[in-house]
Amino acid sequence: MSYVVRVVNLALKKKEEQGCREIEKVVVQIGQMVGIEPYYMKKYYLEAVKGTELEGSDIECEILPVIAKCDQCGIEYHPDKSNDYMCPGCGSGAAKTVQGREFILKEIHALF
Amino acid sequence: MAEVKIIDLKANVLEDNDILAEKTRARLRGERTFLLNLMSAPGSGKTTTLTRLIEEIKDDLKIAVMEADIDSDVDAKRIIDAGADAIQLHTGGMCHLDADMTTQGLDSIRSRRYDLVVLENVGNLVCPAEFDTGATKNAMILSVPEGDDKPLKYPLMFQVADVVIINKIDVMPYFDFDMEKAKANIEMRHPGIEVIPICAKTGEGIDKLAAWIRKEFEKICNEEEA
Ligand SMILES: Nc1nc2c(ncn2[C@@H]2O[C@H](COP(=O)(O)OP(=O)(O)OP(=O)(O)O)[C@@H](O)[C@H]2O)c(=O)[nH]1
Ligand SMILES: [Mg+2]
Ligand SMILES: [Zn+2]
Ligand SMILES: [Zn+2]
Repeated sequence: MSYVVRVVNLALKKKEEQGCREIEKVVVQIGQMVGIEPYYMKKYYLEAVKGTELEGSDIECEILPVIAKCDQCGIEYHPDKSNDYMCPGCGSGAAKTVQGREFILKEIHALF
Repeated sequence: MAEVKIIDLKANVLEDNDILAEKTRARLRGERTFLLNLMSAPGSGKTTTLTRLIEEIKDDLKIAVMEADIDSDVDAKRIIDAGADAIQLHTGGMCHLDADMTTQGLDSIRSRRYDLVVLENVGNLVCPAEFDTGATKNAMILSVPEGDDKPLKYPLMFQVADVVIINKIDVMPYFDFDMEKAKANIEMRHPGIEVIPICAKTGEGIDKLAAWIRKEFEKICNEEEA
């Protein structure tokens, strides 16, 4: 779970930069295509922070659903089984992913 | 009582990986080394394809393979038997390679000495597509038993690939695999991408893959002069 290690390192860096005394919670946003379950993210996070300045803090995960923008007709849609991963407007499958690949440290909830 | 303050960050967790990947690409350009990141589901035929490819081009290009095998050196041995150099990367049980592990591998084989370095990524269609390794080009293998609808289920993998190899075409009669449908699904996900059907078992189609490699290698050589 290198994602977890990256989140912990980044949060530690931000804690230092912002001069926080303590972090209560970090909030991450994970694109659906990244394929990480919040349950595992939390489990590994709680392991990874042991012995660091983030020990005792919690993690909250928000999943960002996949949004595709159709190359043909330009509408945005959620590709999934129900539409066979195709554009519901015109039936084309050519699309750009506009959301769903992110892995973002959204916020830290800190005490000063 | 101290008050909890929410600090908005919106920081990209993968930013450091993306920066290192760009650095790696610049380094490889300077070394005139072509790094190919080869991705697929487990058992799609990455190692078999590589052994065939090595036999086909080893007289023209000096080749090394970096194997991301989780806990055995079987694949590295097969590569060495085929006539290229190979090393085993330490992935620590990870389900993908990132730019950091890739650069460490490039350092330890001293990539400058090679024309072509292939990274056999961990067998997985999800996160290897997320992590830019710093490779010059990405190739992916789709094997016939996996089905012609894979491009619909793993769109990102097909978007980041620069070439798609369809392997195990010898077993097409036994599977419900429609080559035209597969090509159409791939085209949908990545318009204009080259698709190369092969049978790594017999070597059929490997010449086409070798031609693609030679063409791409030539590009980086010309780029340097430009
Ligand atoms: N029928 C058939 N079998 C093949 C072909 N290419 C590979 N195989 C078989 O598929 C199996 C897996 O091949 P490998 O080359 O080891 O696949 P891989 O992707 O390197 O596997 P991992 O590294 O374990 O993910 C082996 O039993 C191969 O003999 C092919 O073109 N046709
Ligand atoms: Mg292999
Ligand atoms: Zn459309
Ligand atoms: Zn992974």
